[in-house]
Amino acid sequence: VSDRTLHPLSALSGIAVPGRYGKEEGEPSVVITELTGLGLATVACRKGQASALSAAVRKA
Amino acid sequence: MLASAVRTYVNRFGVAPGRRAVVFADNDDAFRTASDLAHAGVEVVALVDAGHGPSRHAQAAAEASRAPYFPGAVIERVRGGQGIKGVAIRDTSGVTQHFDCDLVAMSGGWNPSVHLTTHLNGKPKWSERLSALVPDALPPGMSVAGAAQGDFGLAACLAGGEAAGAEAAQGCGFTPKPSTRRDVSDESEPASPIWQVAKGRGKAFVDFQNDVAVSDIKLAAREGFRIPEHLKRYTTLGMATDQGKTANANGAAVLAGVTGRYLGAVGTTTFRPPFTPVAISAFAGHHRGPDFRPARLAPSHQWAKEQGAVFVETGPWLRALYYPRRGEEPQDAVNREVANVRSHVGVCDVSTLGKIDVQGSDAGVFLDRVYGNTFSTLAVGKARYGVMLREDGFVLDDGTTARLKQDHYYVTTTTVNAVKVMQHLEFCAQVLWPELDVQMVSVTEQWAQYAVAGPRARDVLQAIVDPTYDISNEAFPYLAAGEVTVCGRTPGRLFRLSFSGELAYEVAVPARFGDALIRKIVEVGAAYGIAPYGTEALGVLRIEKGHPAGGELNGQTTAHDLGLGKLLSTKKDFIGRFMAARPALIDSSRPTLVGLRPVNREDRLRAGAHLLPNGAEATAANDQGYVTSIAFSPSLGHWLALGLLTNGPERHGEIMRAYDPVRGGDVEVEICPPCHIDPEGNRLRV
Repeated sequence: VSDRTLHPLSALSGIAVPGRYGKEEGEPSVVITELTGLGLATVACRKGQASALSAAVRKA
Repeated sequence: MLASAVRTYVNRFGVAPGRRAVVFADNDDAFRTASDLAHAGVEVVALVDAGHGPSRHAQAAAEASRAPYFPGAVIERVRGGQGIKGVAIRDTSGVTQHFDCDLVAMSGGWNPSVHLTTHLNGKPKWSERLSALVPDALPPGMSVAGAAQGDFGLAACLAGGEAAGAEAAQGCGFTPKPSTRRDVSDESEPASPIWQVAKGRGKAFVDFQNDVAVSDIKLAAREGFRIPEHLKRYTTLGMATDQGKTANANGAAVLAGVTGRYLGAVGTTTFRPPFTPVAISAFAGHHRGPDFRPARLAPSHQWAKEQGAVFVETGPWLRALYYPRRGEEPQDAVNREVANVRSHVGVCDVSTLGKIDVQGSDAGVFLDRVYGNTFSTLAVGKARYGVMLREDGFVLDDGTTARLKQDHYYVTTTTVNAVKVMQHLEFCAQVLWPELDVQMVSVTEQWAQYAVAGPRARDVLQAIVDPTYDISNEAFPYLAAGEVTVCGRTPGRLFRLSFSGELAYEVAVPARFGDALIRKIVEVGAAYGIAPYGTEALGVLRIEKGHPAGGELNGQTTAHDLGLGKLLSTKKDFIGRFMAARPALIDSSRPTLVGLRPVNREDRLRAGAHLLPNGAEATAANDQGYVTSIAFSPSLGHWLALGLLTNGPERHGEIMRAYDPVRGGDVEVEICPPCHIDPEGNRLRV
């Protein structure tokens, strides 16, 4: 196989189409831009480790 | 029809409620209806002014609509049955004239909207000037301005609104600016009330929503219901959605007249909002039709769409049903996809299965309690099929669970039950056993997962999984599970699971790589004859293998019914264990899972058909079970089915009737074991 690497695709691909929408002149009504480079994480702690988690999050 | 309603039809909706109209009113505002009707092209045949003296507004409206004006007159009779045919107008001299018409626009003036104030225990008072109830002592923190206060004229509305606004601003610590006076005049004079037409003929309705007539109010008074609250209960006057909006003032006036009391002393009911009807669609919003709820798209959706897949709703998801090729009928496509899995290799997006990450030192104990079978003994790097019961002993869900680390399990559920199972597990962890060290989170949408099934599945996966991982049968046997990397160090998970009964793997990657992975699998699989298969083929494959699914996991079956009784541990407690042992649930005559095949191999089977002894009459007494799932098996060349049959396992070889009165089906079927393909399970272990 030539290129084995998998390239990520946003879940919004094909759904949120970036661009300018609404009236054609003047200030646009809506501009859609996908923000990348942001991460969302669910962090759950083990039993009795709530304070340790809070400390870790604060440190991060 | 109320004059204001006529104006709404004409001005807002552009609809003429009639072709020949008579306007009958006692107030200036209503006469605008005549002008508006005339402007819209509706003929106004008479303008009947019940006020005490000629009104300049009414005269102006009569001129604008070129209608004869009758000051001080009343309509004494309306003709018509299903619709209005004409009216009899009696003028001040007592002379009656008849007019043909098909619309009467009438008005007794406006009522202030006091409902919000009375809902909060404010008591309205009677205004003699307006002949209407107006707010009196207000609930704390409430101000009323404009028409709701009884200020119907524009000048009064502006002044009242300004005063209320200034008071509110002051209350918030601001200094109100001096007002800019506007030069406006009031458009109309208060009404000269007419509560009912004296010597009117026929039934006189007061409440148009509840069909309460003057005669009903008089009867109520005779029966002793002389207080508005009692009158309301006796006659339904002012009940329901309009909350007396149009009827209560008139009703109170009639009651006052009948009982010889001052109108202001009669009292009121408690008006409550809302009295303006709200369309159901306003509550439903856009949640209708295909927008009833947002469809969840599988990671391979875009790619599947490019392949021309036909989609189907499964739970909240859209899944590929099949992938027709040019000129293929749906059944041909499904047959081809199934045959390709059995002979070569197929790929199916199984990301929609519920996926739950369960971690903690007590994770194994926790799963032992929620599953009928045991998971604490499952070796790390292994997966096991499990069945979960409800408290009442019936099957809740099934799926495979893999142990990735000593304290880390990866639970899968059926697509449809994903949320239900997650809620169940959370309830168990948080409420039933809070002492356990176990945490869980749904990761259904975090992982894209593909089943790669068929004799060439390993060939395909070897080109996907990085070579540092040995996925041979020896190193990674049936029911093995583990973390791997794929396509050059993309993190992934690999499971040796098979729903089809063939050599199969399920490979998972973070969802954002799902699109790339399906493309890569198909690219490298081309050399091995890979073809995608949809949920229809998935269903055929599992019916050929005799695996229970939606048709059998129907909330009414036990593990024993489904042939899964041996999975239930006798060495531990688990949810549903006790109730599953109830006599009715272990009765051997319960309908139990069987396979079915037509005696005449050309016959088609239908899900839902009843199973009757061969030759027996089609009666409820002879009904011994039913067909739960059907499929045309391209592997065997005929239709197959699964069903639930009384004493099923003891009846293999018996010929029965599959009777389907709904679609006119009546075929002979042979009862057989559920598994039709490779019952020893050799293919999936190679």
